[in-house]
Order: sequence, then C-alpha cells, then structure tokens
Amino acid sequence: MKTNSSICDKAKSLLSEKGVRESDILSFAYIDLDDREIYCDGYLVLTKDKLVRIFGQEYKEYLVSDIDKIDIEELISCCRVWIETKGRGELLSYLSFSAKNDVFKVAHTFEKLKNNEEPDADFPEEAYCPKCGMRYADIERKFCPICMDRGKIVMRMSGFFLKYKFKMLMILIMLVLMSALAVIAPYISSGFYYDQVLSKDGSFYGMIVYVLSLIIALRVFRLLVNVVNDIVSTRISAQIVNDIKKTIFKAIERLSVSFFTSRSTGGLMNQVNSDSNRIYWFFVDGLPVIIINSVQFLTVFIIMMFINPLLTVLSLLMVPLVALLIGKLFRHSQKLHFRRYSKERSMNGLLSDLLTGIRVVKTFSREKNESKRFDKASSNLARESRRVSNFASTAFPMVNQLVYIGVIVVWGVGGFMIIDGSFGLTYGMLLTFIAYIGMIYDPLYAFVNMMQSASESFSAMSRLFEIMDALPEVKESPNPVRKSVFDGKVTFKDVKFSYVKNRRILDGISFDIEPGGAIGIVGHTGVGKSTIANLLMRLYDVEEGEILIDGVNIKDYAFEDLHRNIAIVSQETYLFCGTILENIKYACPEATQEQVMQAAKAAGAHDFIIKLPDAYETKVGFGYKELSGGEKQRVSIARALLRDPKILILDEATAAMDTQTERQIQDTLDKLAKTRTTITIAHRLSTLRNADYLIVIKDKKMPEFGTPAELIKKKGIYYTLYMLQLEALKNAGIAED
Amino acid sequence: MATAINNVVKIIYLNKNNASFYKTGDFIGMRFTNESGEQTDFGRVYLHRLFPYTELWTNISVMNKDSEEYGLIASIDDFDGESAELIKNELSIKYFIPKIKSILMLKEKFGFSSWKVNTDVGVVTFTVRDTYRSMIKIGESRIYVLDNDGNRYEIEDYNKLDKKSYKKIELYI
Repeated sequence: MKTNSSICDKAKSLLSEKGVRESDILSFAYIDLDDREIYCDGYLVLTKDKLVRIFGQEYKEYLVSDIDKIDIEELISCCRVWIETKGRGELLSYLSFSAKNDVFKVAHTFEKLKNNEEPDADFPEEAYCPKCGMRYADIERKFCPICMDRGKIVMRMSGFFLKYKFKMLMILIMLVLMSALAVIAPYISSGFYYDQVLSKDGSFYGMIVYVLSLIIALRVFRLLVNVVNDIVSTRISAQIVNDIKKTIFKAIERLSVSFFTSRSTGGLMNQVNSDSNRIYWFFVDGLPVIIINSVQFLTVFIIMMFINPLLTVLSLLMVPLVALLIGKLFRHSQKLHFRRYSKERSMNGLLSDLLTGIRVVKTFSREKNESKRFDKASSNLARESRRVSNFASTAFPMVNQLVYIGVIVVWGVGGFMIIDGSFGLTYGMLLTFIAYIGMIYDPLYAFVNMMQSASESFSAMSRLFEIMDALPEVKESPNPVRKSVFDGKVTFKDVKFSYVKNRRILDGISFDIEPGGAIGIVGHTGVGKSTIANLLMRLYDVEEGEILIDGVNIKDYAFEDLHRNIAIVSQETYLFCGTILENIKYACPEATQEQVMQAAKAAGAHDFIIKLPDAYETKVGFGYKELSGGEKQRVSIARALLRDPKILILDEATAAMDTQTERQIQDTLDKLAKTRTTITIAHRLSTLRNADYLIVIKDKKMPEFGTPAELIKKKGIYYTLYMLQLEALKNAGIAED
Repeated sequence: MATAINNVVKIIYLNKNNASFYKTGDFIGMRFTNESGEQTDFGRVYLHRLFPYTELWTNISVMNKDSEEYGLIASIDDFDGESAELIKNELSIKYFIPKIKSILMLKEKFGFSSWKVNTDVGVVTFTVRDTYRSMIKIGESRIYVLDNDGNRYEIEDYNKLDKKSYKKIELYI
C-alpha cells in the first residue's frame, strides 16, 4: 500500500494558508483512511502547539495543550486514531495497518512534547522505494519486489557459485559438446550418408563400413560425454545443494527468537530443503539449458538456411503458432499441476494430523468420520492427478501434430524441388533438413517448460537474501565486557517491554536480587512472568529501562558469557533426538558420566532413568521412547544444573510433576541455590515457599514486592492467591506448611 | 452432559431488558442492570464477534479494554432503537474490511505479489507475501486476502468477479 514519505504540495499549501510553517512541523504522518473509513490522502501534522488533521482540502486543528493523549487502537483490519481531551475520546481518523508506523511516531513525539522531553532519535522510520515510491515490502532489506532487478539477484547469487567455476565450466563445455554432436548427427546419418556414400557422385561412394564406423564412433563419443557429464553433475549438485543448505541454515540460526516466532517452522524447513534445490537447479540446469538451447536454435537455423532458405521459411511458418500454443497449454498445465499440488498438500496435512492425533480419534470413536474425510481428500487428489495426466497425454501430442504439418509441407515442397532439380536440393539434404525441423522446436519446449521453474528459483534466491540480509534484533555489543563467572547480582531498572508495538506487556518493573538470592515471580497466566526470564536471557531486548548483572548492562556482555552463566528450565521442555545422556550433556559436552549422574540425581531424574532398559543410553525424541511431561522436565533440570549456572531460572519447571517429586527436587535445588541466584516462576505457591522475596506481576506492573511473610501481612494480591490455594488444599484434605 | 455444564457455567446474556448502550464521545458505553436490579455504568466497552467469519450479528462479546467479558449478546435482535444502531455501527467500524470489486493488476515476482484493486471504499495497491497462503478461503467462494502489513481485503464471491479479475486469481484458488 502506498504511503508518502513527505507531505504533498496540496497539503503543504493548505498548511501554509492556515499559518503552519514547514519549519514548525515536529512530526507528521500520512493517513490513508478518513473518518468514514474511505481511502483518502490525508495527514496528521504535529507542531509544538497544534495537532492538525487534513483530509484532502478538509482542515481541522486541535491545541496540544487541550489533548491529554493520542491513542492508536488496532481493529481487525485497520487502526482507529483518537485523542483524549478532558477525559473524552474523540475520533481523529482511521488508517490501514500500512500507515500506522508514522502515526505511532507522531504519538510518540506528542508524548515526549507533553513531558518536555526530546523524542527518541532511533524511533524506527518507514522506508520507501526511491524508484516507485511504494513502501518496501521488507523494510530491513529495503526490498521492493516491483523494482528489484532479476539480473542483480542472479549476479549476487552467482557470486556464491564462483568457487565451483571450473566444475561448472566443465559441465557447460560438455553440454556444448553434446549439443554440437546432436547437431552433427543428423547431417552424417542422413544427408552425408545418402549424398556422399550411396550416391555415385559422392566423395565417399561405397565406403559404407568406413562411414558407419564414423557414425558409431560419434554415438559412442556422445554416450561417453553424456556419462561424464552425469557423473560430474551429480557430484557437484550434491556438493552445491549441501553448501546452499548450510548457508541458509547459518543465516537462519544467527537470527533472534522474534524472527522464529513470526514464521512457521514448516515454512523455514521448506526453505532449507526445497529452496536450495531450486537455486541449484537454476545455475546448474536452468541457465546452461537456456544457453545451449539458444545456441542450438541459432546453429540449426543457420544450417537450415544454408541448405535451403525457402524450405527454412516454410518450415518455420508454424513456429509462432506453435510457440503461442505451447505457451497457452503450458499455463493451463501449470494450473492443473498447482491444483494437484494443493490437493496433495491438503491430503498430506490431513494424514499427518490424523496420525499424530490418533489417540484422540480413537478415544472419541471418530474413526469412521475421519476415514470419510481421508477418502474425500484422497479422491480429490486422484481426480486432479487424472486431469494432469489426461492433459499431458492429449494436449502436447496435438501440438506435435501441428509441427508435423510443417514437416509434411517441407516433404511436399522438397519432393517437388528434387524431382524438378531446382535449388540444387538432394534427397539426402531433404532428410537432413527434416531431422533439423524437430531440433528447432525442441528449444521452444525447453524455454516454456523452464519458465515456471525459473520463476520459482528467483523466489527462492530472493527468500535466501531476505534471510541473509535480516538483522538479528538482539545484537551482541561490538566490544563486549568479558566476565567468565558472574557473581549473580540481578537488577531490573524500570523495565518496559512489548512484543507487539502499542501492546505493552511489562511497564516499569524494578527489583534487585543479591548474589545467591532466591526470588519467586507470581501472577496470572499471560501477565508476562516468562517475559522477565526471556529478557534476562536476552532472547529479546528491553524497550525502555535496563537490566544489569553485577552492575553491568546485559547488553554489554558477550553472548557466550551471558548464556554460560544463566540457565533456564521452562515448562515447555524440548528434548532433542538422541540419548538421555546426550540430552543432559547438550549444554556441557565435556562433562563426565559421573557429573551427568550427579546432575540427574539432583534433578530427580536418576531414579526413573535407571528403571529404563537402556538407562542413560535410552533413545528419546521423535520416533523413540516417549517420556512423560514430568520426566522430560527432570531431564531438562539436569541439563541446566550440569552447566552449573550462576543464575538459574525455573519457569514452571516442576509444574508437570507430582507434589512429592517436586518437593524432593526443590529440597535439592535449595541446597544448590546457596551458591547461585535463583528465579522461580510458578503458579503453585508451594513451589515458591523457599524464595527470599516474591514479586507479584499484575496488569503489566509490579504491585507487590517483599518476603512471603510480608506479603501475607499486606493482605493484597499474593495473600488472596495464597488463601485460595490453601483453601483448595484444605478442601482436598491436604494441609500446607 | 450439556445440562451439567449449564448448571456450573453461567453466561451473562445481554439484552434490552438488562443492558443499554450509549454514545460516549466517539465510542460506545454500556449500562447494565443485574438480577438484583443494581445498575452499573461500565463506561466505554469493546465489542468482539465470536464467530467473525460465519456470524455477523449473533454471539457478540462485550468486554472492557483488558478483554474481560461483561456479557454476551446472543443476537442483535435482542436490542432495538439506539442500542441496536450503536452496536451495528461499532461492529461495522471494527470489522471494516474493504471488499474487492475487481482486480486491476496482480503481478507475482520474487515470492511477493503486487495488487491493485478496486474496492467498495476506493482503489488501493498492496503487496502480498506468499500469495497462495495469504488467500484464505472461507466457505465455498469467499476469500480473504491478507497483505504484507496485515490488512485484510475480502472477495465476497469469486465466482461473481468479472472474467479478467477471476483469471488473475484463478491459479491461487
């Protein structure tokens, strides 16, 4: 959607008519929907004492002193911008999501103006393509798909292939050789054989064995070239695809967590797997095929003109028609393929869904219904596959018939020419000529055929650059502070954070934990407890305020030191495919078996592991032994403990365990906690019973902070939660400590 | 089973007998009278369709700015007069989605497609990433197009598009 990076002349003159000088403008935003949600060209302009709204020639101004705040409310497919004046909300305008960033900037500048502060210099700016004026489809990369030049993409990508230049040159030479042999073959086996060997006037008259040997030798040579080409291609294809996959994976891996949360895992997997093949195809198959076919087309055309210009023109009469027809048929065939692909995708999705959820299907006795659903999806796929094959077996042979009409014409006219003795055409030449007609149509098929694949390759290359150019949101400081072992003092200073702009999740969180201290975080689901852990780990960066460890801002530490000293065990545990031992040693590969067992014992994992037939070498993960939620959590805790972190974050780490197991682990952790700072996030208050201090998070803020005893005395939020849980336990006949 | 749930879970249904909507500035507010006859003025309220693709005027949640539900409107027919008008108006503002009448241009390049369309509220251009996945089919012939910035556009019935427009999207349907 178009948005303007500067105020248009009409609006400028309207502003100047109303006495607003350009130099007075502090911030402005283009707005694309008016107050009736109709597309328009409008602006919001902020000066130090006025907020102006313009829709076309309609002008309205508000005094900054009258406005309490500017708010941007996200609706389903647009935003509502309104101002609050003396406690009353007034609509300013609507705008599409495309225009919201600049309006956020105006609101931000307004807020700073009201507080007599300078607006942030690093507020993210929108960026526009200088060529077409459209907002970049991808701002970070400054990528405009309309103006992006395919040549530039190919050039940039070809840099990647430079290291294979010799091998690729070899393939190219062999392809040229094969093409040249293909062009020579009809000449020797048809024209030359009839005119020079079988004809009495021929220079090689009667030398049948000699010429046949030559033909056989040529065939064998062509076969050899073909075999060598296949061997080289297969070898370098595996190498290049592997290299591209590594490059894509490396590019993906360095990005921050936010990148992964905004993209589907399936999409990224597809990108690593399929895109590498698509890119490879273009450079190793596609591009050489274009070159070879172009050369073949031209060479054959020249030879044909050389043999007989009139017959050449006659035989080529059908080319435009055939090219047009092939193009049209190909588009249709592409559509059919696409439909088949989409049905295949639906069926595979359904199959994977059903097999993964087979327990649910069986528990609710839905087998018959699911069978019907699968039958339908499978029949749909069969129908589309039938259409594809029917089309392929009828449409293209019909085009061949059209080509054949050209051949018939050449047979006829050529025949008359031979009988007539005109144009010096011989029977052998005619045979050669007809063999060449087929060869001139081949490149046409090849070009049309590769159009779709080429376009897919360009998209794949573009996607690769998108990832390569994306900047990780969380960046390591260029000159990081190095500290191999932290003391463990954690300070949050007025921390503000939001995952999505304008939807703040933490607003002004401040607390201190001394080295070796234990702090518990309490609050309802979704209030941002885990966000505190994510921020401390620097999976995301704070928006405002700062987080310090041992008095140094965490942004200044090297990633390596930060992640070596902090370990997190979250509720959503993930075990990689491998043995339990490998999973525990994941973060500390150099650990001894004894250390692994100690960590597992501390985490309460040892007892269940020894019951497994393969004990520590039991394979877990997809397709192997399935551990229960509680068992997985214990392995994760062992993994974190083995690292011996100075700061340990337990984010609902024991939630999936029974109370007795949790208590056992808690006791061990408490003993270990003396030498490390521990942050525990939990719903079950009993989990937090040994915390020195508790933080209560509610409505983005931190309304309560203190020792458990202090908070109970305070009779606030924590007290209410505590009483509720105590009552629940009493009702169940279990007494709490 | 359903009866058992009924006994333990209570949905507060709002209707003209226990609730009324009024204008507060450019927004809507709600007054509610509970079973014991006590009236509460909730101030500004927010409406949310619970089945936005299939039900336009039934099952609408009324909530505060933190998405805490005050009650449910089973059907807009349970209100009349100013309240009904205000609910309708607020919902059409919130669920404003331009309806595509014709497609003037659709070009795909590098995995992005550029669109220029004529909608019921004017002509607009936008970019779509991964066109096939960004065209969400609802029911038999309704399509939502999701652009790069999260804006939605609706094709109410693709069979009713003119031939040229249909041809442009045919491949993605």
